[in-house]
Amino acid sequence: MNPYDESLTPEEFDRRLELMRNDENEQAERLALISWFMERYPTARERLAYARRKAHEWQRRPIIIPDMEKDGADADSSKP
Amino acid sequence: MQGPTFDEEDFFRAIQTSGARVLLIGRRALVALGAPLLTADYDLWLHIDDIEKLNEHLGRLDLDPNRSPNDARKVGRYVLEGDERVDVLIARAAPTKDGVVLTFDQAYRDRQRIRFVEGIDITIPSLDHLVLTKRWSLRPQDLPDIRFLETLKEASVHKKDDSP
Repeated sequence: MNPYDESLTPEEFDRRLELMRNDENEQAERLALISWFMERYPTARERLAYARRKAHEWQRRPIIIPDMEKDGADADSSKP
Repeated sequence: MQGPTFDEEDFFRAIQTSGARVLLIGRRALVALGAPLLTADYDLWLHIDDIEKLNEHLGRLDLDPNRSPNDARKVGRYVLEGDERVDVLIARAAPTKDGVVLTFDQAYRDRQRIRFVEGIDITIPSLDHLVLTKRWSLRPQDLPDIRFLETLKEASVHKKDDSP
């Protein structure tokens, strides 16, 4: 399971939530994001279309497979 | 999933015309409210007696249920699959991990409507009830969602304060 999907205990969840609430920069950034989103996409239809478009882009993103041979060569070349 | 034939207006129109008591929950509800979040699926919370109504109307859009209504009632959820994936919760009530129970009837009674286009509204739980739904699983990814909901709530309070 993706660790991001694992449940936290209520205590840990609330501790992290409280940290976020107390972060003034986080609050300002979140408010700025909402303001931008609402101004750029003023209707629910536009906002949902944006989300679908972004999800589509994310699902079609290129998957970068590390070049093991090259990585190995680089690792070797870094040896003294 | 993203399909080439799926039309979101048709989707919300079909939900509305079905007459089913249904709420859009999950991240798509937050997006509709104004939170720029990434999400792949639709999450609906449906009254347990309205499965057939919803399935009939969404079936016309080639969204097919993965379980029969009776099986879905036993499990408490099912999926409508087609060009998009729609997760449907049909629990009468759901508790948060710390024991706060939200019933469908409470959430539906206090629902808010958001205009999608003229003649089509989306029904969404209240901000407070959406926060409770985000405490059902207590995953790390639910944290920013709750913060978005809290920020939206604060912004709406200030908006009301500013209004004449």
